Amino acid sequence: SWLTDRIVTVHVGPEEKKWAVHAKLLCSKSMFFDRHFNGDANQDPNEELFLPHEDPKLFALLVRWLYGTAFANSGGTRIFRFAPPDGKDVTVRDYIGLYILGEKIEIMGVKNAAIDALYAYFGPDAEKAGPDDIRHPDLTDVRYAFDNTTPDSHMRRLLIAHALFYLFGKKRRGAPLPTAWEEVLSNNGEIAWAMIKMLSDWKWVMGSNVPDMKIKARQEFHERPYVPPPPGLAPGEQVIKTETRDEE
Amino acid sequence: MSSRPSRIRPVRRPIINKETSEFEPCWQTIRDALVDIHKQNAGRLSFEHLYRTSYKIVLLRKGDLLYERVKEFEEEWFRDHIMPRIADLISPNLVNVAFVQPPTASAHERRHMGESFLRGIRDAWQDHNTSMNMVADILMYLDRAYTSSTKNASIYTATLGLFRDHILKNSLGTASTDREHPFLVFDILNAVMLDLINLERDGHVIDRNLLRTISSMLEDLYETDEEIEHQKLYLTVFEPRYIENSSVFYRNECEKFLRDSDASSWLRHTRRRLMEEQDRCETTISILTSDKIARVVQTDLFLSRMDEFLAMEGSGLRSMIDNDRLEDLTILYQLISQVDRTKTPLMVPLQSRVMELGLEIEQTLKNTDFSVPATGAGAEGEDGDAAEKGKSQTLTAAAQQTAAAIKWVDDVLQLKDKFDNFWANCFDKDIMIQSAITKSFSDFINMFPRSSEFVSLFIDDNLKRGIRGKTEAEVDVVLDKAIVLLRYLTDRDLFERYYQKHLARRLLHGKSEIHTEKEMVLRMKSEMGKIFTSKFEGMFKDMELSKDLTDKYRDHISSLGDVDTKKIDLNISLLTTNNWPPEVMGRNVNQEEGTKLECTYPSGIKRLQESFFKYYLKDRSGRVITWVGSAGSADIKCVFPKVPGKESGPLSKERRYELHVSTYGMIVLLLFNDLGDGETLSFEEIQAQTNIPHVDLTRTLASLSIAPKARVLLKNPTTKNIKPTDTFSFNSQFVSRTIKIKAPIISSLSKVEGDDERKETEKKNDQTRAHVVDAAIVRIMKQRKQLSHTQLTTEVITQLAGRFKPDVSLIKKRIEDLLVREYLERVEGESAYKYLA
Repeated sequence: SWLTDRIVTVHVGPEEKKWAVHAKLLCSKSMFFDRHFNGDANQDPNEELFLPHEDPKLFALLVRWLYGTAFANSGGTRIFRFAPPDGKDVTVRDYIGLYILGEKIEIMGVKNAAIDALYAYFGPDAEKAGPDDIRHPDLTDVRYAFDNTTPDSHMRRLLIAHALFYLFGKKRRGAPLPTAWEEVLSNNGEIAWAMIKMLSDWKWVMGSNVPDMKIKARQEFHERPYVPPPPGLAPGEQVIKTETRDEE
Repeated sequence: MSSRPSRIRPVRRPIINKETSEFEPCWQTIRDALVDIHKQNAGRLSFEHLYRTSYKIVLLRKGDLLYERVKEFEEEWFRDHIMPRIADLISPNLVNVAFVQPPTASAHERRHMGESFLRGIRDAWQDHNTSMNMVADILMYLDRAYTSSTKNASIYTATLGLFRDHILKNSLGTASTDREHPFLVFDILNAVMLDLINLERDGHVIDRNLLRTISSMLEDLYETDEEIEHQKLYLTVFEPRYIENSSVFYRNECEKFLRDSDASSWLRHTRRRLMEEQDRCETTISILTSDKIARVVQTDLFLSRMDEFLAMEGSGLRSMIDNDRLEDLTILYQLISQVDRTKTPLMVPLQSRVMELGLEIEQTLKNTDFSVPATGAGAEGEDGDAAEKGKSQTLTAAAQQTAAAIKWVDDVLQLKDKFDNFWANCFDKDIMIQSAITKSFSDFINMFPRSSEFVSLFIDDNLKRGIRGKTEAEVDVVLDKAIVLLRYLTDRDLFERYYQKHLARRLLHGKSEIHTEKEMVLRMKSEMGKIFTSKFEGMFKDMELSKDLTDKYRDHISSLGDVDTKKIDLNISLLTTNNWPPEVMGRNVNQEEGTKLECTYPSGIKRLQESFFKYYLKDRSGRVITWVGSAGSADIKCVFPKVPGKESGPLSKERRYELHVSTYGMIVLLLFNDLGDGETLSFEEIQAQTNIPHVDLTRTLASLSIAPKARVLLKNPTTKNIKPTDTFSFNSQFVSRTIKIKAPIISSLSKVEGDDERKETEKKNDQTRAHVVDAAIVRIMKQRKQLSHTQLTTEVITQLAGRFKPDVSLIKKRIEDLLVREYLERVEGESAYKYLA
């Protein structure tokens, strides 16, 4: 079992904050860690890893997820969930950062967990929160996400969808757009393009009323192990299919 | 590394220069790392740092550029650092070894050069492989985010492919173009490997591990970067050449063996080569080849000239069989069953050899002179009896024939043992071979016209002799074998006839143990069915009933207190006509002479018969008893009075003997009771008084007046034959050392039939067959109503297969007969018949 196996130390950030982590658990989730701690069979295995460019706060979230899921699976019935961002201890940007960290070190699970936290925060939780609590992605956070992800990223899609829902949502009702919108959108065409692209997929037609819409199910924003598409179906077709059901 | 289907869209960023300016320093970092890795200097590199760098490049959308740069770097590295070293190893001598046949260099030289070249390739490959593993680790994110979303091969695959394109498929510039045929490094590699393997085949020791490493290298490399399983370079390039080269090698070897050696060592050599090649696949090249190379050895070394080897004088298949070369046959069987599931190449010669040997037995039989049995047959235990009988005198013609019959069966059984031994020990109890051998046995046995009779005689002999000499277990084994022979016989009805005859004699004369007899019949029953043995069982039943009846009758007589019978003790065998052979029942005699002949019994006997008949009818009215004089026997107490004038020796005393004779013998002897001293009776007189059939009387008189042991009658003249003109008188001078004397009962000796008898038997058998065929035809037609001629014939043959193989002409004749008798009628216009109810 990983519990009784060796423990390695990870030093994070410029201040080299130390974490003692069970090597087997860590390596079972990530090729990156696996390569580092188990890579060369001919040499003594590494016992330490330095990640000077990562944020210790994000790594703490990763470790919490790592052990949370490990124990939830081994007996506990509760599935591990991150706490919703509260703006103080943990923010929306932290979860975006966690998502990016997950991408970099290749841990799919933590990426999905980060998506879940934001999904709940902007979606079901926001509806329960009452009319005055208007939640929408800060466009500087969106820019942060776009700077550190590839175009097919689910995080991009989630954030863009919520930005548009805010734009057309009832809660805003004619209030002016936040200043960040101008600042970000005038400089970053990629984000604006992503918004326009999604809007065009909604297929609104002038003269008809705008339909009431809901964000797609949580799972639609999760990453899954790659399964090859059935033969005969061009990859493009599949993409179109999923996108027509988008955000309805 | 898998990922969701995704697309990389062209970058739309306002500040393009930023990306390019950030890429170059990152690439420089990676490039420096690549150099370190190749120089095996990777210890000082930080994996995290390099990973982050390549991650950054991918986020900058420069994955494609990184991918190309890495490949360019590797190509450059091959050109500048690897190829020069390999080119150095390819000396002109090595090229000669590879392309000039026959090789001019010595084996040692070739091996040395070849191995150092292979070592160079191996080292380059191993270094490259290790390096590329590290590179793939560093560029893990590139593979995940960039390579997998494009159609490109992973960086590891791509860089391994470079080894194929830039090392193996390198044409070496001038070194190769100088020659007539340009060549690649790969060609030399192949040639060197094949040369080394051939050296090993010739008995040299080579570095197997080295070849194994090179082989797995070729297994790890593919024709294209798509890495399609059957396009491994090992399979596409090396293996075909290896197979071709081996084929040539083994063809030559086969020719050499055919010239210089014999089949036995050829078989052993083939087996050894097969094992060597298997071993080679496991230790030196690849297990992928093992089936293919086995086929090469099988085809080129084994099959190609197999017929010639098997036909070799003194060591071929014939010699293996004749000299019981079990090991040779075992190897041959194993090799053949590997290449040919039908095993025809083994089966056909086996079959014909069985036939030949079987016919040889028959031939020897004809050429053997059984009149001097001690020479030929005496050596074998089975024929001990024949030898015993012929101790002092030559055997009679009949006894010779019998000995021949037993010898025939014995030889057949020995042949069968021989092939059973092959079958069990060499042929892995192969069912196909068993049935092939069985068929040949059946064929030659049935080609021999007297097989049915001989088998029955053999059983007769063993059952009779089983009582003495042999243990029960031994008899058991012999009888088991006899049953095996029975299985081969097709004319089972003929056998049934003979067996019935022989069994009857044994039973009536108490020649065998009844439980052994029953045991034997039980075995036949399980082998050939109930109908076949029903007559035999009836015979046993008759014997039991008779014993019972005799006992009861004896009790009945003693209860009557009748003293008038002169103490004649009656022991009766009451035989049901149908169960017993006609010869025993005296029926054929009646048939021949057309009248019912009853011999005249003396009055004392006659009274006894009447008394018994009366007793018998008390419980069973309406039955008829026929007394068969020819089948019975009698114990007679006789007194030879003192011979006057003899004062010493046995003749001076009165002598009492118990004489065991046939019933006819008794009747004849009783005649002499009434005769005065010196009076004689002629043959004709005896016949007139007794009414005993001529043949039987001849036999009876012969046993009483010729055989020296029991010569109680004197014959005049004292010739060896009985003639109707002879006269007989009481031999008052008769002396015997034993009290109990057995007059030889000629009819009880089972012997081979003479040619006439034989024809007779066959004729009778054919008559029976005709009836059986009739019955079968009617049975079939009754059920089927209408059948074509061929269908009917086939049906009849199938139905009767268990009993005999009917002649088609016989069936045709019976059908015609049935047509005449209006059981059947022809269907108009076709060759078919209709059943008439």
